[in-house]
Order: sequence, then C-alpha cells, then structure tokens
Amino acid sequence: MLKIYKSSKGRWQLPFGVAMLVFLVSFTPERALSQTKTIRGTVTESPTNIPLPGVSVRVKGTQTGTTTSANGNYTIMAKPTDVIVFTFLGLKTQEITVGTKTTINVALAGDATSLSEVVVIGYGTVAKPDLTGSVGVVPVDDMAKAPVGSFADALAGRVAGVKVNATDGQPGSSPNIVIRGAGSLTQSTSPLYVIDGFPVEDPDPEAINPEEIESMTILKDASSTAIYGSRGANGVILITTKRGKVGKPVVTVSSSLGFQSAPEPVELMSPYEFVKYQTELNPNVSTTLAYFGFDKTLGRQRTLEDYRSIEGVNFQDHVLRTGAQQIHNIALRGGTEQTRYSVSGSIFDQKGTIINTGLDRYNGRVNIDQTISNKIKAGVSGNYSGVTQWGQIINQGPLTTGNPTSMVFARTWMYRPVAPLLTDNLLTDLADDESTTSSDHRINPFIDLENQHQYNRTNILDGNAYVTFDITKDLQFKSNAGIRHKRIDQEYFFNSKTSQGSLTNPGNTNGINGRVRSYLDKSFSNENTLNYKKTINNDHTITALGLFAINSFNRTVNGYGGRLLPNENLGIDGLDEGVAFNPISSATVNRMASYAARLDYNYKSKYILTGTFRADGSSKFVDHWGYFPGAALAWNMHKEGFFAKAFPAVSTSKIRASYGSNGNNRVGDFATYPSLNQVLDGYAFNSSAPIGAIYVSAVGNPGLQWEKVNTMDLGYELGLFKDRITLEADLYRKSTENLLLNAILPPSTGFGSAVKNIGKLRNDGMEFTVNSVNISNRDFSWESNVNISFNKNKVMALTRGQQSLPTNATYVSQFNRPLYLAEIGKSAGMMIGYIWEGNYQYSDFDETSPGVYVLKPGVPTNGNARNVIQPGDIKYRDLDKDGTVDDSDITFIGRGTPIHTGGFANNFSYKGLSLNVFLQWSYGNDIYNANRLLLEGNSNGYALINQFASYANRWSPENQTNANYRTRGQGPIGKHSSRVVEDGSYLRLKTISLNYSIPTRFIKRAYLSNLSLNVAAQNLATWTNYSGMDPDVSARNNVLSPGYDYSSYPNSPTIAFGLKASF
Amino acid sequence: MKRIYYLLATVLLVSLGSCKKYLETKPTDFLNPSNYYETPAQLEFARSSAYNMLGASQLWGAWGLYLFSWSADAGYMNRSSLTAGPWNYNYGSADTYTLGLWSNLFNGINRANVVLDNVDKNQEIEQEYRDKIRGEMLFLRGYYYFILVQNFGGVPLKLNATSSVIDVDIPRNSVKEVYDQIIKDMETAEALVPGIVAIGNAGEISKSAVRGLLARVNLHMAGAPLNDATRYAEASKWAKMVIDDTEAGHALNSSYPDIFKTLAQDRYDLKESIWEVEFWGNRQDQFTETGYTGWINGPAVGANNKNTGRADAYMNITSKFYDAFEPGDNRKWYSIAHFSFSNALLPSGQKNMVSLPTSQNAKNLMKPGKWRREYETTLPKFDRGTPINFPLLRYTDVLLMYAEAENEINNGPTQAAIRYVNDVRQRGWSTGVHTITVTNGGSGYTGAPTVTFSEGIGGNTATGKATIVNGQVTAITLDRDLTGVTYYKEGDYSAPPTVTISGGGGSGAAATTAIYRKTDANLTSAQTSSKAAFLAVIQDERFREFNFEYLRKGDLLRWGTFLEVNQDLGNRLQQESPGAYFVKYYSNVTPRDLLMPIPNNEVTTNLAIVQNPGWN
Repeated sequence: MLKIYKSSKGRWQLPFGVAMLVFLVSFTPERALSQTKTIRGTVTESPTNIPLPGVSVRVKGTQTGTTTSANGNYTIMAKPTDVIVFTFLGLKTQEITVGTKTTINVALAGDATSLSEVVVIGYGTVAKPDLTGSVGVVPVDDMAKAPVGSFADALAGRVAGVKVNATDGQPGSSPNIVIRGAGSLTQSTSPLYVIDGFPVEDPDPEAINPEEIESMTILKDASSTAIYGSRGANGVILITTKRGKVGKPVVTVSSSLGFQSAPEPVELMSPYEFVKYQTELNPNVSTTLAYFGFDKTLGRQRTLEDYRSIEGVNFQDHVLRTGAQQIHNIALRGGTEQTRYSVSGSIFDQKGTIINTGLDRYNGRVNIDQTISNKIKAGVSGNYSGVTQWGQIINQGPLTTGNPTSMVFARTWMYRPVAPLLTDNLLTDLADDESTTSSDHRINPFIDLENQHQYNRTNILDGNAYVTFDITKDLQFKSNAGIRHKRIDQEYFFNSKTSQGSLTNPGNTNGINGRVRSYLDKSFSNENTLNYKKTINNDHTITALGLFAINSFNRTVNGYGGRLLPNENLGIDGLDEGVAFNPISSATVNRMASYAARLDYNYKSKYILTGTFRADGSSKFVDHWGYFPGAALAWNMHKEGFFAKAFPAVSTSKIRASYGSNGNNRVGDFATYPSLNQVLDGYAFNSSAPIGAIYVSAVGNPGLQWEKVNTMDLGYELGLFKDRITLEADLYRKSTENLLLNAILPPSTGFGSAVKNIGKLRNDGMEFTVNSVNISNRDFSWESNVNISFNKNKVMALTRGQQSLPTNATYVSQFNRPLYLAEIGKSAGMMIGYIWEGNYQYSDFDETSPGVYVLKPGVPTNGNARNVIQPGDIKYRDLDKDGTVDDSDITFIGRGTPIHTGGFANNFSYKGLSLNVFLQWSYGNDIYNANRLLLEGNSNGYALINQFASYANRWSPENQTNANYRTRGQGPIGKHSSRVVEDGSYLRLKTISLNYSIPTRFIKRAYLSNLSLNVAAQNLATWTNYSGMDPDVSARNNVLSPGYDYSSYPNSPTIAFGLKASF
Repeated sequence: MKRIYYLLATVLLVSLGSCKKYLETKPTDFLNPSNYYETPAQLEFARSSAYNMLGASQLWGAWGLYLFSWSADAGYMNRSSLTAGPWNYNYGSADTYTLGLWSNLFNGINRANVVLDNVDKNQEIEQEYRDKIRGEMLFLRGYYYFILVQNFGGVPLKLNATSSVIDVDIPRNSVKEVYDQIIKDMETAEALVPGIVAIGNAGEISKSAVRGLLARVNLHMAGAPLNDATRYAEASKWAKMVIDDTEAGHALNSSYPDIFKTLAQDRYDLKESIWEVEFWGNRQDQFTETGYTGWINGPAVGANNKNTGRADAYMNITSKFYDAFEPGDNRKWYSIAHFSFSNALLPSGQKNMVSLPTSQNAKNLMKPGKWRREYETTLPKFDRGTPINFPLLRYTDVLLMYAEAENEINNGPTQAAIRYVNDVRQRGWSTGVHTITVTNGGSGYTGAPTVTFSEGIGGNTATGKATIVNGQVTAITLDRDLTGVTYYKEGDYSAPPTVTISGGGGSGAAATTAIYRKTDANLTSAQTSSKAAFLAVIQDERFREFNFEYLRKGDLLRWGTFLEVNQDLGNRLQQESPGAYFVKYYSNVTPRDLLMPIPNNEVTTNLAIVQNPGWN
C-alpha cells in the first residue's frame, strides 16, 4: 500500500526530475579535467525528500561503485568527465556528468504511471515516450483496491480496448477478456498471458493473487504483439510479480473481511395469483382441482379467495444468502545489493450468494534475485496456487436433457409456492411429485443445492529461473526457463437428493452416480535473449533484441465414473462399487520453437522506429513454420523546436502508426491428423454384449496453418500543461484471414466439420483515454481517468458458399433453433427472430357468433392455424406480408455486442485519506433474457409452475393489455422474438474504496511503518433498464452467442473492510 | 569475448538442427488410420463401426421410425404441438431430421469405404475372413445408398474413404447410376458373405439377406422413378434364390405375433426373420445399445409401470389402416392396440381392455400394437428405450416380392405367386369362433349359466358368457382375450366347437358355433383374375402385413401412388376428423415431397450439388 501513495504522488513530479537532469547536464563545463576527485551527496526520493538508503551509485563504464548509507549519503571517486549512475529499483535511473561539481544531490522519482514511465513490453521495457505501439498499462494499484479475488474481476473498464465481461457471477467463473474485438469465431479469443516471462495460453486468473502483481501491461497492436508471433493475435497480457527491493526487510500484512449481499429476489406471483393462473391454464385437471378441495379447518371447500391470505414458499429465500469473503495476505520483501527476496502468501475464501457455492485459494510465492558478479545476475521464483471451486454450476443444467427444470435459478423461480390444501410441505419435500412427467422432474431446488457435491480443485506449481550475463556493457544475454504444472481434480457425487442422482427422476438413468477426473498440464518454456543497446553521439539510440525460445505443453486426462451406486452413504468413496462408466484416459502434446528479433532506432526520442520479426515453428502444423513481421514508427512532435514555440501549453504531442501480422494457433494439437476413435458401443452382434467399434472420427487437415491477423493502428497522444491532462487516442483495423474455423463440411464426406483456414473477420475500433489531474495541492488531490472503446466486428467470409453461421439457443429443446447469426457483411453475435408486436386484440377479429372470434382476413397469423388464434395471443410482425408469420419473417432483433464500453476512475486524496471511485459501463448491447420465456408467459404451457409477478398483468377480456399474452397465448412454441430482447446497457459503480493511513507518529511505537484501514465496495450500484438480475452476463459462447441470460448467477454488491500494516 | 559469440553461434546452429525433430510430435492418445487395420481384431472393430450406423439414432435407432412411417398412410405422429417437421410435410432443407438421416447414411458409407480401403492391408489375414468383411461392407454401402436414393434421388457416389477436407465439391450421380452401383456392390457381396445358418444370427449379413435385399432393390428399380421393367426378372430371380435355398430352409413363422415376440427377446427366428438391426441391453451396464422400437411406436405405458416397460407412444394409426383388415384377419388385433396400460406398477402386460371404436375419428386416435414391450426378457426394463430388434427383411417380404415380380413378368399371377400370397394370408388368419347362434333359449334361468366350449387345438379353447333375458338365454358373447393378441378369446379349432350351457337355474338352452378357417383367407378368383387385380391385392397385403415396419413409403413411391394416396387420405381424414391437426399430415403433401430436400449443410458447402425440385 505504501507504494501506491508514493507512486501516485510522484506521478506528476517526474518531469521536474527530468528537467533537473537536463539542467545539470547542460551546465557541464566545457573544460575537461582529468583528475579524480571525491564526490559527495545525498540521494532522496522525489518528491518526499526522504533520504534513500541502498541506492546504487556507480561510475559509468567502470567497476567503481558504492551504495548510499542509511541517511542517503554517499561518497565516490570520479573524474570530471565521468558519468555517475544512480539506480534504485522502482525509481527512475539518473545519470549525471561530474564536471566541476564535488557535491551531487539527486532526487530519484518513481517510474510508474505517467507519460515518462517505463513500460513493460515483450522481452523488455521502454520509456513511455519512446513507445511506438499501442500498449495499455493497467492501473494495478487502483485495481488492487477492488475487494475481489481475481484481477480479472476488476479489469473491466480499466484499459481502453480491453473488453471484459462476466460469464456470470459464479465464484470462480472467469470473465471473457477480449482485446480489440474477437479475432476468431469458433476458436479461443483469450489473450496470451505472459507471467514473469512465462507464456501461458490458458491461465486461471483466479489462481493469481492480485496483491502480488507489480505491473500489468496489455499489448494491443500488432507492432507490440508481433514479438509473440503465432500466439499474439488475441493480444498479450504481461504480468510481472513483485520482487524484493534493496533495504530492510519489510513485512506487509493485510486482511479484509467482506460481505456480498444476497441478490435481490425477483418478484414472483403470490399463491393467489399462482392458483388463479393454474385455473386458467388447466381448469379441469385434477392437480388444479385439488386446490379447491374440502378444507377441514375451514369446514368447507377452499376457494380461490382463500389463497390471498396464504403466504406460500419463496424458494429464493432459501437458495440465496448473504455471501462472505475474506482475503489475507502476508509478504516479506527486502534485500541487499547482492540479494533481493520476496516471500508472500495469501488466503482467499469466498462463500457465494447461492448456497453451497464458493471458492477458496491458497497461494504462496517466493522470488529471489541474486547478483553473482558484476556481469552475472540470476534469480529464481516459485509459485503455488491451490484453488478449490465448489457447488453446482448455476448456469449449466445439472442434466443434459432440455427439460425446463434443469437449471437452478429457473427451478427456484418456477417451483410452485403453495401446495393444494397445504397438505405437502413444499420446503421439505424432495420433489414436486404431482408435477413430474416423463420429461420433467422438479426436484426441490433448496435440497438439491444443499446436497450437491461438486468440486474443482486446481493446483498450480510454477518454477522459473533466469540468468543474465552482461557480455559487454551494451550487450546482455538472458536465459529464462520455467516449468508449470497445473493439475485439476474434478470430483462429482450425486446422491439421491440431487436432481442428477435422484431415483425418482425419470431422466436419470444412472441412479446414484459420480465421477472423478484429473487433468495434468505440464508446460515448459525456455527463452534466450540477447539485448543490445547503444547510444551514438547522444542522439541515435539503437536497441536490438534477438530471441530463441522453445515451449512445450503436455496434457493428460484420466478419470472414470460410477453409476448405479449401491451405497449412497459412502459418498464419493463408494464410486468403485457401481457400474463403471465414462472412463477417460487421454494425452496430448504440442511444442514450439521460435526465433525473433526486434530493432528500435530512436533519434533523440523524436523519431522512433521499431521493426519486429518472429518465426514460430509449431508441432500443430505439418508445415511447421510461420512468419510474423511488424513495424511501427512514432514522432514526438513536441520535441521539435518550432512546435514548442507554437504551442507552449502542449507538453506532449505524439503520433504513432503501426502495422503488423500475428497468428492464432488455437487448434487441437493434432488437428492435422486423421484420427480414429474407439468406442465401447459398436454393435450387439448375435444378441450379445456389444463389441466396440473404431472409426475415423476426424478426417484431418494437413494443410492447416495459422490464423493470420493483420492489425493497423494509428495513435495520437496529447499532453497539456506539463501533462497534467493527457489524451491518448487510437484507431485500428484488425483483419483476421485464414480464420481457423470449425467449418461445416458437406455431410456427404461422412464428417460434420473440420477445422479449416477459411473465412475472414474484421474488427474496427477506436479507443480514447483521458487522464487528468483536476486538483493537486499540498493536502488535496483529485485525479481522473476516463476511457472509452468502440469496436465493431464484421464477418467478411465464411466457409465457401456459406452465407451465415447460425448458433442455437440453449433453452428447452423446442427452442433449440438459431437465435444468433453471424452473417457475411454483418457483426457476429446478432440475435435473430420475430419482431414482437404485443397481442392480438378484439379489433383483429370478426365475432361470427357470440364469443366466437375469427381472425379478420387481412390480419396475419402468428404461425398457428387461423382458426386457433384468439384475442390475447402473441402477435408477431409479418414482414413479407404473406399473411402468416413463418421462417421468412425472421429478422435481426438484437445485437449481443456493445457499441462502446468504458470506465471512469477518480482518485481523491486528502492527507491520509484517499477515495477511489470507479464507474464502468457498457452501451448498446442487447441481452436475450430467456428467463422470461419460462417465467413470463410459460412458453411451453407447463403445468404447476409459478411465474414472475409481472405476468399477473396479462391479457384478459378485462385487461386488454399488450404487455403479456393471455394464459396459453404463447402462439407456436419455440419461436424466438424481440419480446425478451432487452437493452443490456448499464453503468455500474464498480468499485468504491476509502482508505485511511494512520499518521506515522501514532504507529511508530508499534514498530509499524504503515497502518491503513480501508473499506471497499464492488458493484455497489448499477443503472440499467435490463429487467434481469444482472446485466453483466454472457452465459454462453461469447463470440457467437453473446448476451444470453438464462438462469445465470448474478453478480451482487460486495462490501469489504480491510486493514493493512507494514513493519 | 569472441568465445562467447562462438558459443552462442553454436547453440543457435544446434538448436536449428534439432528444431525439426523437436517439432515432430506424434499423437499417443488416438490411433491413426495409417497404423491400424492390421489384425483380425482391428478389422472386427472397424466392421462393427459400419454396422453401428444401422442402429444410430438418426436411422433405425429412432429417427428412421419417425421418418419412414409417420410419413405414410398407416399411422401418424401424435404430438400436435410439433407443428413443423418432415412427418407432416411442413419442413424445409434446414430440417434437423433430414440432415441427420443424410449425414448418418453418408457417415455409414464412409465407414464402409474406410474398411474397404484397408481390408487387404494385411494379406496375412485369412482370405475368407477378409472376403466376408469386404462383402458385408459392400452390402452395407449399397444398403445405405439404397435408402438415400429412395429418399433423395440421385446422390454423390463415394466409393473411397474421404481423405481431404478441401476437395469436397462432389456432384450428384443419376438415380440410375446409384442403383447400378448398389446392384454391383450387393451382387459382389452375395458371393462373399456366408449363409444364414452358418452365421446363426440375423444381425450379420448373410447370403439370404443380400439376396432378399437385391430382390427389393430390383423391385424399386422396376418401379418409379426408373421404371425399368426388365428388373422384375432380377427381383424374381433373387427372391426365388432365397425361397429355394434348402440349406437356409426359410419358412414362414406359423404365428404372426410370435415374429414380434421373438424380436423383443434377443432370440432369432432365422427361417422368418432374415435381417435385423440389433439392439441390446437395458443400460444397467456400460453399454448404450438400446433403441426405441416399442417405446415410440407401441401402446403407451406410463413411467411407473416399470414391469411392462415405459413407452411414450408417439404414434397413432389411421382409420384407413384400421379398416384395411377383413374379418378373420387376426393381424388386425395384434397390430392395433384395443387396450391400454395403467401407470401403476402392475404385472408385465396386464391390460385394461378397450372396446371397439365407435366412430371413424376414434379409430384415428388408436395406437399401433405390433411393438409390445411386455414381451421383453431383459430385466429390469429400461425406461428410455428398448432392446427390441428391428426387422429389415422378413421371409414374408421375399414371398410377396416374388409374387409381385412374377405377376409383372407373366402379366398376371402364377400359381406359385397366388400360393405364396395365400400362405401369408393364412398365417395371420383366425381359426377361432366367430359366431355363436343360440338355437334354443331354454327357460327358467335365474342367473347366467356357465358356457363351456369344447377344447380347442393345443388347449386353446374359446370362452364366453351368456346373456339372460326373462329367464332365457338370448345371446352368448365371447370373452375378451386378456393377452390382447386377438380381440376375443375365440380359441383354435379345425371344426366348430360344441357349446355346453349349464347351471344358472334353468335348462334347455343350446347354441351352435361357426368358426374361421385358414382357407377363408385364400384369394378369390376375382382377385387373381388379372395382373391389376393381383397387384392391388399385393399392395393391400403389404400394407397389412408390414405395418410399422417402415416399408410403406418406399412401396408407395415405387408404385407411383404416393401423392394420390396421401391426398385421398387427407380428404378422408378431413371428413372423419374435421380440422384435426393430423389432416394436414397428408394434405400437405405436394409433388416436391416425392423426394426429401438435400440438407442445407450439403447444399451450402458442396458447390457442385443441386437441390431437389421444389425445395429451393
């Protein structure tokens, strides 16, 4: 926490430091003296002026060096021509020519978050003004204030061009992070993560302790990602973890306790409304009539009115709860000039807002850096993360059958609130037996959730080591090697009280069952770089990088299941007693070898040119090698003399442009091979147990190659009033060619699909970021950041001949028809269906005889036969005016992707108090609220299901509304329409955090150097027109079917109280 | 310092050299066609994969039961909420079922082609064994093409395994070319596969199966759309070869119901049932080889009635089918369920008997009765499917095909043709009591007297009850047959049984009986007087005999009567059940329905293919 304040205060002082440096350099006397003399001075930290111990002070190009004492003083021998270099990790290095001076006092300034900051890029760092590509620096300090367990949950809205949207709010569900629009339709769009130099394609954001993140940068354009070649097409997220700093050991302890409020329950029909609805739905069925049987306590038959006074069961009260989370971190960091160390550990524990769901994480990390000699440095780091996620996955049905009751939330809402004559205790009954049909088994959602035994245990072990060797003062060799072992153990056991194991569920053919499965991923990476940096005549700087790297990835999967388990009480340990099923044993491997080079030419930081080239060889492709070039240039026009004169207020004006090519290799490791599949069930010859079968399951595509992404980027950076206000704008076009598409094959080949390099996709976008220091004085400061990103994708081509790629909805089976369409010339993820026009009203009908209504000849049908359509039925628009609503009337009814997304961050500080307010939004996207199909109109006319309270306002002769159709007025079943498409735009108060640092004078006696208290809240308020529980949702494939909401786990507000101490 | 550059250069060079090897990974988890098909066991698995598609859910596992019968005139799919689909001819080229059928058949063809391409890879394997497999694969490829050509017309002929995902534009071959290839494949297979007795089961392809199917294929070639009349001789030839095969010894099962009981019980009747799709098990183990015969097309059984076995019964019969049977034809009582099952857990097969329908509309609401789960012997019965084998070729079919071909060749029925038809009709015919005439009502009866019939053949004795009015016996009615095999408990007699009326406090009552005889089933001279008359007989006979065995649509197509039959039935049903949802199942049929649409997935990705007329 200490660091946060230092850097945020230091942010705007940096230009001063630079100015001082320029000043000092410019006063170097022309008379060159050759005698060695003693130089003294004090090094302080800017702007606090606190003396800095442990600063490395060195005469450039020699072995002479020392470090500053505890009070920041140093003494060194140097000649007037010498240059003294002051280095301290985390602060900007200064070089000062001795000249005539005998006292040199230096103020070192922090190097984070200003235009002068040093930015981590692929295989190196660069001063921000010298950057040629488009790189987003994540404000990790601000993000760390969010009371969440994973950086990914706090990333949304932080960086322009990075779209983060939650799948839903289930603890441990990773959000979708998409950089500059999805570059692929059917393959992964996840960026490449490079964690301390180790590339990871499938990271687990929740396995990384956010507290350990020192810096995080996001490489967006091809010039910066080209160095990652075949894996850079989806962008690259570089994460550096904290390492030790020279100085006394510092122990940092922090703890926070938080509460997540239970999601706001959806208002459901009361028992009275429910029974009333049943009498309309199934008036003469025994299960309805049972509600009006003889009631002993009343001494008469029960009437509908009697249900007005009955409270009923609302299962939301039992399924939802207040969540809790605790985060504990401890770290010890410090070091000497020779050895620096960082040891940290953390515990994160979250109990979800739905019963029996949650996540915990244990994490430990050790980083050690050692200077072996003047030329050789080495370091090791180790990290362990153990993440356990438990509970039912709420947005997935427990069973694969498409029955309406399989989804947890849907079941919670629809479960009837009252039983006939109150004879049953709905809350304790295992299932609603009267509602059970051959395809619909309604198990008690509360009992089911309580009995779920589902665990996903992820254990990750990382080990990394590096060595650097300064071959000459300009040339450095670095070798970095690491391994990563990730093991996921899944454990599921379904006893008879769960829907998956219920013996009364007609859909369950497995009896009491369970399964275990382990995934073991072993990755290895070795990267060797040569870095060369040379400044010629103080004007021309050349930086060059050469790289050779190898990577490998192995995965093995093992597991089996047991069904028809005889001894339920043994739980998962009795798995071996049943009939074995679903055994799995598989293995796969891929390897890569890479060469890369980068050359930067920098003329006085005015003109900067970057050229990058990478060659990747991948075992996934028959023709192993792919080549990925990139180039960029930047012009810092404010460094031109004429410019400074013409625009004195402009402190930065930089234009940059880049173009480059990347690849995406996310296909199966052996997609080029034809493969044979062996299955257990071949054919039961001679009425005997089946013999197995083997068949060619994939035809293989030996011609497979990388997906190629060409990105063009044009950027402009503007700084006003000494960069007190800065603006960064980018315009890009990202074109994906040779799209790796799981393309449909003509079925006459005998195969359904194959991965082919086919199709084109284009993303166009704009990004703007504004930083400003609104107020800055001794006691009070206010800084803001606003960023906004626009992205629009367009499908340019699909498999030859294919005009569109439809994606089905995943609601109940009768709705299993296309809801999304990726059509050539349009965006992917557009929703299709009928345009909803309310209900048929009496005016649409001729009353041929009293009470008999026949649709007027000119009025189109809704797809049902004319003679069955009645007033109050749902009405759709007949686009082609042919009198019936059929497939030809399907049109676009919504867009799943937003027009723009963004964030607005504010940091206020007053003395020891600081307040961080962060708002985040998404605008222009629609959500398909499939919950309303079932619960606002009962799409399939199921008996005995409850409805949202809003459905009480439905069409009836007395209430001729257009809001909801009449009971059973749903029209033809299985049609998607704009009725449940809703505006999913939202503005959310994502994070608000208040921190108070207790003044040093109060804590000194407790040997504390820092003690701060904070309270932080996440998702505290959301402004949206969306009627569902949470607009930040995309429960299905995020590219082809974005913005789909059915029975999703809502994100709900979290508030956490924390304490942080350093000593 | 130079040393370091040398070192780095060396490292680079070494790494370059070893890179290629480093990047050559081999799959360890799955097999590769190049290293397979080398042992008999491997060929066995490969062969099984081609058979596997017969039982796939897109074919006889489920969808075939939907597509090929709901679309003909014996029955229809009774889920009124499913308003669109191939079963009611309200569908398009995007239809899932059509795509499933098409894909599955080509998948089967490719699997057969893979085996054919690899069967001789290891010449060490015994020639006879390889030939058997080659024969089976050729036959299955031909069979899959046979279903394709009937339903889609000319389709692309693929005679080798698919090896490229790029060269996928394959034009359609003509109907004739497809049929010629089927004939070629099947004729080659005929010489290669063993006889049925040697095989010992009806699941594997035997000479009889190939010959019988050759007869069927040739009959189709002789009919629409090819109308190649020369093919009748071929059909006759192949059918005759089955009939005359003394080694195989094919014969009709003397009991019509027994054919289907056998299919439900993992037993074979090789004389009658020549080729079946094998289904197996009850999902109490690791296997999932159950089908839906009896579950989807039999009488409904509730989920709780586990002893009889759950059946969701998606199918109803039509009144046309109900009315197609003559009195005495007991196939009617076995093919139409005049009973229902309770949802309670009762002994297997315990029925609630239902009276005869009282209106034409009521007939349209009855369930087919041929596929009965009560006879299954694999216990406990699986509630989401059945192990009932599905017959693809019965000897009865061979006889009727032979008769039909002979009728065409000779411009009228031969004696043998007539005899075979009579044999088939007699097999299903009743030998029970059909009329009881009270000759003397007697007097003084205070209660119903006991009615006793003389003992029938094999103890199959009729039972009945007397009706008393004013102390006299006015009528004797037969009891219901509680097994549901026939309607009445009518017994089995070669001569009319005597009736004894005793007890009831009265005396003097007497009655006589009349019975059905097998010879009643024989065709009349009018029915055999001309080619046209005999063809009409054959057409009706096939309708009755093979109901819900899914041959009907193909038959109607080849006879060229498909459109007419559907339109007539649509009109008929509109009269009987005005406005009912199933009327459209027939009236929707238009000329384009002579073929199904080529699925969208094919049309959009195979640029060389042309859609069927009317489906664009």
